[in-house]
Amino acid sequence: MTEPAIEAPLARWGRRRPQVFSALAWTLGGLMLAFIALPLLRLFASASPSSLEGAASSRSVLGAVRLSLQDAGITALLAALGGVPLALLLARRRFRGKGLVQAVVDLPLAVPHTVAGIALLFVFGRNGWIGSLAEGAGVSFFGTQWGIVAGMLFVSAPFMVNSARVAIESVDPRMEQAARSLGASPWHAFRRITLPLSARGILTGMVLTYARSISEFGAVVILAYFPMTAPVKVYDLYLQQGLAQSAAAAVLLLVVTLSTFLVFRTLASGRLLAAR
Amino acid sequence: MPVLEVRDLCVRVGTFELHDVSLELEEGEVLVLLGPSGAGKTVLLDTVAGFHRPRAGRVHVSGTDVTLLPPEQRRLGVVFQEYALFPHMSVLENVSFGPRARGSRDASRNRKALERLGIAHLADRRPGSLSGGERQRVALARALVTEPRALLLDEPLSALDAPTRDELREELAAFLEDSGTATLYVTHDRAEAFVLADRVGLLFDGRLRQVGEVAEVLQEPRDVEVAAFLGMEVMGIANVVPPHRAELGGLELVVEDARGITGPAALCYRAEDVVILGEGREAPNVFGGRVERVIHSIPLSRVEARTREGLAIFASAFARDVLERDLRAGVEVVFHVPPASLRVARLTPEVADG
Repeated sequence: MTEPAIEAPLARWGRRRPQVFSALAWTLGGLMLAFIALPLLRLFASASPSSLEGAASSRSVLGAVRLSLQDAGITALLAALGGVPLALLLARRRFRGKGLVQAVVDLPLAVPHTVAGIALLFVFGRNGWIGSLAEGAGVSFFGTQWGIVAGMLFVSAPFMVNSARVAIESVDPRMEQAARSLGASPWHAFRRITLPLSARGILTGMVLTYARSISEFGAVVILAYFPMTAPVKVYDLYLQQGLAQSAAAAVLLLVVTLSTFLVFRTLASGRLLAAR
Repeated sequence: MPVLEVRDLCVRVGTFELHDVSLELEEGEVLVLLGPSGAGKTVLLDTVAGFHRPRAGRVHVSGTDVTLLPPEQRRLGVVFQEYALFPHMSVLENVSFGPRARGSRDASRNRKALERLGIAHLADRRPGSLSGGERQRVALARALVTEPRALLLDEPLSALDAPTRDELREELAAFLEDSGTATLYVTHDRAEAFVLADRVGLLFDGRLRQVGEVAEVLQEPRDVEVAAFLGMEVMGIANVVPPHRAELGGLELVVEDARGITGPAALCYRAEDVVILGEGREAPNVFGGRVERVIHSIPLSRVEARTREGLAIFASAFARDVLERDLRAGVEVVFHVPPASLRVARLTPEVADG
């Protein structure tokens, strides 16, 4: 045997106690899970049926929830429209500066969202490059739905592009080449081969984009405090009326967003919850 | 006019380069490109198919210059190593993909293509549920139904397990001959090349070294790498003095044909051409030596020996002879390498024109 002397005792220890490894994984994993689930459970517990009823009958709360759902949906569609072509280029083409492009795509993940909001305001504000042009066409990004969508799109775009890129990368390029050699144009090969085979990943990207958008606060609140999206409304209630009053609206928002997220996720993955 | 003509093709993919490849594929012919992995066979096939753009050179299909045309306008059928069947479509949908992409709605033609390859009963199955052999037939049917000018096959047997491969090799050879479609076939497997090829082209390090009929290439390998790849033993580097003399490590050897080569060149031979004599004889190329190792096998065993001058000699002999003569390590023997079986091969590659 040429086993190194230092490794031998460790390896023997690991072999004799496989159950320790397993127990450690379950304990630490369980703590992580509890950390995520406990605050949400506690929030649900705080809401009485009457306070929920109150929140559900408040026109401003309902309006905020509806606005969030709508704008997150629009954002998911816009993200797919621009994100899938970008993902296709990243997955299939070799070009100079590809690493830089990928870094730019990932940038919103690292930018604090209030910073993103301020940066967006520079471009989309009344005096910004795009904002001033849009203003001329009668479209304003400050304090409008367009501003909300811009904020949502900025912070959620990496989820769309990366999901779609991974999905397209998993399609064997030989299949596209086979389609081309059989007489298909690049567009036809994409629509009949690449798109159907990566559809699930692209849909997953849209669901993630939707979920990220609906939960966005920082970037949105700078571009549009009004009209209020649901997270802004909850924050507003918290500031004006305190923890108890904001909790009911928070639970309502949670229920609506979680249920839509689960529905979309199930549609995208073809299975309910996570049963494998 | 050749169905496919490749002229002075230079391609660079990443750090790999294909240099000045020229070849012609005639109507109904199977040309097998043979070479070790990494030689550039697939790059060449992909460039012909239109998946890579060459840096220089032309590709003609039936006289039309297709060098700058996209793959869909070249009318070449491609079968890939792993077949690249469309997993989300049935067998019939896979086969009708080509005709539909070209705007044809003639369903009977697609059915006929399935029948021709004996896979009509699989029409509604998904590729994922098929065996390797069945997949290959689907891939062939899918390529042939578009009536391509030529077929490009990239190691179509290497994805199969060994027994299936041997079976399908014969089947594929018969099918290609029967279909009469000109075929450019890429493989690293010598046996596959010999069974399938009308002509064989040897590709090494991105260069086409030699093109010819199988028997011709086996008999007259042009350079030492080709000779070694085709299973010849390399005796060593000799100084060749035409017409018949070669000096190798102090030994005087006789070659039948120096093939116009003067000076340093490799001497190659086939182990089965080496004769093991009982005793010395006055003839050219006879060496005394000692057996170093015997590898018993069927039908031929391999005898590894070294001459008194230190030259390694390999001989193949029937297992029966090896046993009868009690050849084993340490036994003194006399070898005869007939001048006719001693080949002179160039050391530097020579680019072939196919």
